[in-house]
Amino acid sequence: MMYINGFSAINTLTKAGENELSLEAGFVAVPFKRQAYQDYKNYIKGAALRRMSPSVKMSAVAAQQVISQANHKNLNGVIVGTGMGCKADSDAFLEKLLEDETLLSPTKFIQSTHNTVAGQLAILLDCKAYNMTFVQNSLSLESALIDAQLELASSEEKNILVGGVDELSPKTEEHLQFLHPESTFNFGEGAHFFMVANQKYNESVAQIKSIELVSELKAENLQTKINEILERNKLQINDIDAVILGIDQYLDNYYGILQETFHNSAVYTYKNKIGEFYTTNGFALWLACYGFKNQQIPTEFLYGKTVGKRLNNVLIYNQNNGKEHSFILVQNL
Amino acid sequence: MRVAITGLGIISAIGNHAEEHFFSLKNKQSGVGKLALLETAHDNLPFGEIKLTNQQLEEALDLPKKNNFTRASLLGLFAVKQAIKQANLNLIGELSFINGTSVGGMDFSEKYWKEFKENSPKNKYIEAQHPGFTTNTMAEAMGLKNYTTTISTACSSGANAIIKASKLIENNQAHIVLAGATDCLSKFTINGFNSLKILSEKPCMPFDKNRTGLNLGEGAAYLILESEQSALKRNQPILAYLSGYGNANDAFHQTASSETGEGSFLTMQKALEKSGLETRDIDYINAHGTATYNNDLSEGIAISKIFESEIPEVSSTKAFTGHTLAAAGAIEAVFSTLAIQQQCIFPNLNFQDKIEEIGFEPQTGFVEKEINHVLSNSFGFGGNCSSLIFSKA
Repeated sequence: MMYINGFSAINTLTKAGENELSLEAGFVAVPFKRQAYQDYKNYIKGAALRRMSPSVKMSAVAAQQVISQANHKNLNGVIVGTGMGCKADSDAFLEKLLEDETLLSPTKFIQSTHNTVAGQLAILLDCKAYNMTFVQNSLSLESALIDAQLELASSEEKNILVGGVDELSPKTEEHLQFLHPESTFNFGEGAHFFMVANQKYNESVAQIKSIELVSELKAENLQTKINEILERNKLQINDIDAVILGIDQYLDNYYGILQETFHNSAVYTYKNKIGEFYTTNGFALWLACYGFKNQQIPTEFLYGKTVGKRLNNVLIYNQNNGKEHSFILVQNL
Repeated sequence: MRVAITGLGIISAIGNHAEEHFFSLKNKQSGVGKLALLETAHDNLPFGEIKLTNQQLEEALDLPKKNNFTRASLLGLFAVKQAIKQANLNLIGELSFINGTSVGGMDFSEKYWKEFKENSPKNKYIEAQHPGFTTNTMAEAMGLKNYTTTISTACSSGANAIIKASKLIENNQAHIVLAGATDCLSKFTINGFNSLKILSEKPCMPFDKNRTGLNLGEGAAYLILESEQSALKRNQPILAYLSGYGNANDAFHQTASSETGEGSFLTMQKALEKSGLETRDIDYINAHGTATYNNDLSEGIAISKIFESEIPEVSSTKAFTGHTLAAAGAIEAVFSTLAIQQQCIFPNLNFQDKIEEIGFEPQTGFVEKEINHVLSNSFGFGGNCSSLIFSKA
């Protein structure tokens, strides 16, 4: 059993501390919404705020939000997923050493390891419990969620902070354009954190029924996979009220199969608004929680026609260029 | 449910497979010395470099000329093949794979960094520095279809990969798991550790009062872990059991351990609890023992605090291999299994004087004795502390 008791988003559509969407930006992802960091000073003290890398800043704010939403329960673990880690500091250290190997300060190196965020959260929250970091491209956050599930498979009450974070350094943006020259999307950044527990509390908003990851999956086997997941959870296709798809610039047939299968459900998408990054699926999960809480996912995220259904079961599906498929089934409480 | 180890694979500066490692450890032959392959301004320092070029590794692995392999994935696949062979696995595609790496393909990213531009053939290495890239390169070469993920918790990645594998098996989410870690030498890490002023100018001296820092190394090690039932059903010899593990965070500093060794204390305590063993049951501790001032003091204090008056034999094998970062926990998991199989303790090289603040001296000889349970420690940046306990089959 995995219940979500707090959910927080830091991305181009949210303001620190509000956990609300500010859609007036015209739905164009702004890769460097760094001015938003000014709002972080309510969460992080001045000197620390200057020192922290973007990923740590975003995660520290998101983490504090969800902990307070979940009424500050005793924390039994911190699990972070990140596709690229603290990329800005890593880039900075690398460029310096390529110039000269003799006069380097360790500051940027210290922040550059992929587990920096989880380590800094442990210090910030004084949490000496279980601490883990997963770095598996577009399955990084999902790997963290699956690990949380295993940690929660225990008879004692447990609360775990789990999140996904990625930052867009200027160099990364340049490099990604070399890799995806035809891209019509903005690359983005963000942190999405959740408090999960094996107990249901008053503040619980959702239950994650199933997370399934498949590294390699042929399009013709996608339908069978979906049927398996539904069957295991004793659900029919029509029980899925909404699907949230990670549609990106590559409009391949995988997402089309989902749309066809769930033609009676509402279909939502989001990467066109928050940009593309490895842990972007955190926003999809956030959007599902937001939808449960408000009994509506904003129509701005609709992909296709509106379906006026009560929101009970949501299926989140994402894939990365035909690989790294993830299915998250989440249920309203 | 008991988690069995049925396959081992390893490559480091002291050997290309498990038997060579045992021979080097037994005969006190260190692999730490001068660099021959990697070019860096710091080539005056000693390193545990593997003296096989990338091309030699590619040939040994029979890879196609056109591939995405970087050194970490080459070393990784080299070790994986041994583990799969020893465990007599046929349906390799069905394996779950938990990989650990911290450097990943950074050696290629740094080499081609200035060549990344529009339409450059080197652009395929832009993403090489992300740990998942290394894992996927290996997974694709093996044709893996099942759950594959990467753990990157700095120098405890290998130990955490083994913990994760055990959790999957215990929770019936996998029957057979390939777990371990790989890291290669890179200018990035050499300069990083050098800027922190923790690289020793001479061969490292774990647990010595006058220790002067660590030597970096490279390597890869993988284990096949499976439920005891699965191993018995396959008539597969069980080399040892993974009987306990712990994971905790020091929550003190990004790169330094707390002086009281709280994270290390907690993780050893958790591992003992999980295994149901008492401190007196542990026959040998394969310590993290990097030979930095900070680690050995902090780890030593934590060991003294947990084991009190009954401290078992302790040794660090870092002076053989160098500190292989993410791979260290996996390499030392192989050493712990070998210690159980061969009923021995491996020597701690270069030790002369005892650290006053801690209650033990490391074992400096190769000692044959009854070994039932081995505790192996791995601690990393980010306060990540992990311990594993291996038990005789």
